[in-house]
Amino acid sequence: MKKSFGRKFAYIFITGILITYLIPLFYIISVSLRKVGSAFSWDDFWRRMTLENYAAILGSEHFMTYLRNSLIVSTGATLVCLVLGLLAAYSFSRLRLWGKEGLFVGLLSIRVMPPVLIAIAYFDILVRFRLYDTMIALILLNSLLNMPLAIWVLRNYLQAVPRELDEAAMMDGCSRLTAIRKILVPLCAPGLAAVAVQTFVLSWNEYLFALVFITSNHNKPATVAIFDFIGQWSTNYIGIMAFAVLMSLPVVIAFLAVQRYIVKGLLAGSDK
Amino acid sequence: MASARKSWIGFVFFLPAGLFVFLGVALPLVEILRLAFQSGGKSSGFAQFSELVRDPVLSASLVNSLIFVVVSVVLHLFFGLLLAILLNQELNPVFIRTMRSLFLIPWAISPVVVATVWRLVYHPELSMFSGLWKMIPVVQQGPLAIPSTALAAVILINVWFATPFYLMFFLARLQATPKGIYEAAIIDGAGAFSRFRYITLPSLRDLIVTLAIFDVIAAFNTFDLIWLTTQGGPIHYTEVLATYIYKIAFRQLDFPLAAAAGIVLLGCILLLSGLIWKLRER
Repeated sequence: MKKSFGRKFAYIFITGILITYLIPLFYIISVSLRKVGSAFSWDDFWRRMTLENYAAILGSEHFMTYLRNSLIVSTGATLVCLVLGLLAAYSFSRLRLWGKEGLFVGLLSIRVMPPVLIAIAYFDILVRFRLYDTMIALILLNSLLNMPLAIWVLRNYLQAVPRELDEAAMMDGCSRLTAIRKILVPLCAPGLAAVAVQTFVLSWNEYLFALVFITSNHNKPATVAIFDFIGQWSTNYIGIMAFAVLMSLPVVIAFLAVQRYIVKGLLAGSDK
Repeated sequence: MASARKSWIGFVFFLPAGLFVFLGVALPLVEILRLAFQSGGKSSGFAQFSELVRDPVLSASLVNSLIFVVVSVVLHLFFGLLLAILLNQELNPVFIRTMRSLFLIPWAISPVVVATVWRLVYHPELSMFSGLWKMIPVVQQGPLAIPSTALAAVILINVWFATPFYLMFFLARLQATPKGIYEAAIIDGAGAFSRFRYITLPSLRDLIVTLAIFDVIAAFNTFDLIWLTTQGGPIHYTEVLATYIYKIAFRQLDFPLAAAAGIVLLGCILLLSGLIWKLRER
């Protein structure tokens, strides 16, 4: 009897904390549903609620361009991290390699480099190679930032697959690449999904590199473009909030779908 | 013979990622050192650093960065662990899974959006809390505009934003801990506190150290949340090294000076994470 009361209390308590924690999100969603120009008051909010801000943004050509740019940059970085990360993780977990440990630590130390310093160091280089103000620059820099975690997670997943499986396939005449493709990729599918989503989300959300390296409007990803809306629609917080909700929705859903595998891949190695 | 061949193949497979190490660490490091110590004209190699030391904004942003990092790390780990323990109770698994997912939402949102949301929350007129801001005389213009509250307000945003990340790891580790240990401790008469103190905490020690170091790096490099809420203002009260360096590099276009300040930032990161690592060994 006492225990069941304690449980009921736990359910209510946890739900209460969650609701308090997410108040800012409820608030921006409610703001995004207001009519432009209407006062920020709760008086008859429910009656005057409207989706017209969303319709306006989804209908605007600019927004679609920004979203497309974010999509190109994130997809590009994700592909680079998946392919190169898998190859490197394979060499770390399966092949003998002189100085492997040192290289691995070197790779993880990319995380320690402050992004603002990477931006400074690459400024001249990107200008010289005519990559300044291109999405290729963003793909490159985002892959750079996300590569260490990609290799870490993929190595942990590969480590969990018994060596005998892919070695047997190679005995049977598969080439190394075929063994990776036919045996390891399917077995590590959750890890690959985790790395893909993680890289995609972090590149989608990235701000500093986009701010420094992109100047023309048609190359801007959503994170820097959102502030054009301030200029465009004056101090229109309502429009910005609708934009913010729309650009967050896809990555939030993707992240929640695979978060379990991300944690699993990151934690697996730190047990030792 | 066979191992030599293997090693060669391994190198080919590693090459692309090795290239990234070069591009991600070696090249930027060399470039930053070159910029910081380059001696233009008559000045010596340390000209940048002596100019930095004379700038009062450097020491201000150094102090702000340290406060921002230490408070953020402590609160992230504290609230992350607290929420994880709360969600680790024996309740309906579907309920727990749903709650865990919902708690993670802020972490999946772009810092750009987080900053915009909180600018509205802190807004003196438009916020749902504007009544609250008006009641407290000090923060009538909103907490972000007041020197005495701005840094705390920015830290709160970072705590709100990144705590779920740490919660995610603590919860995964707690759920993997065998229940038998706790049952044995209960039979031996251990209370809730001593179970936490003598079982939970020691088993999480390595994870706490790893997450603390990760967060030190992340917090020192936090740029977007601060840039998009205060730009380091009011009058440098929320200026941290990351925004300070950004301003020198891309507003004043003084790359050598920014590189010198960048070496200070890199030094801080290495020093503090090294310190945490040393504490672990004790």
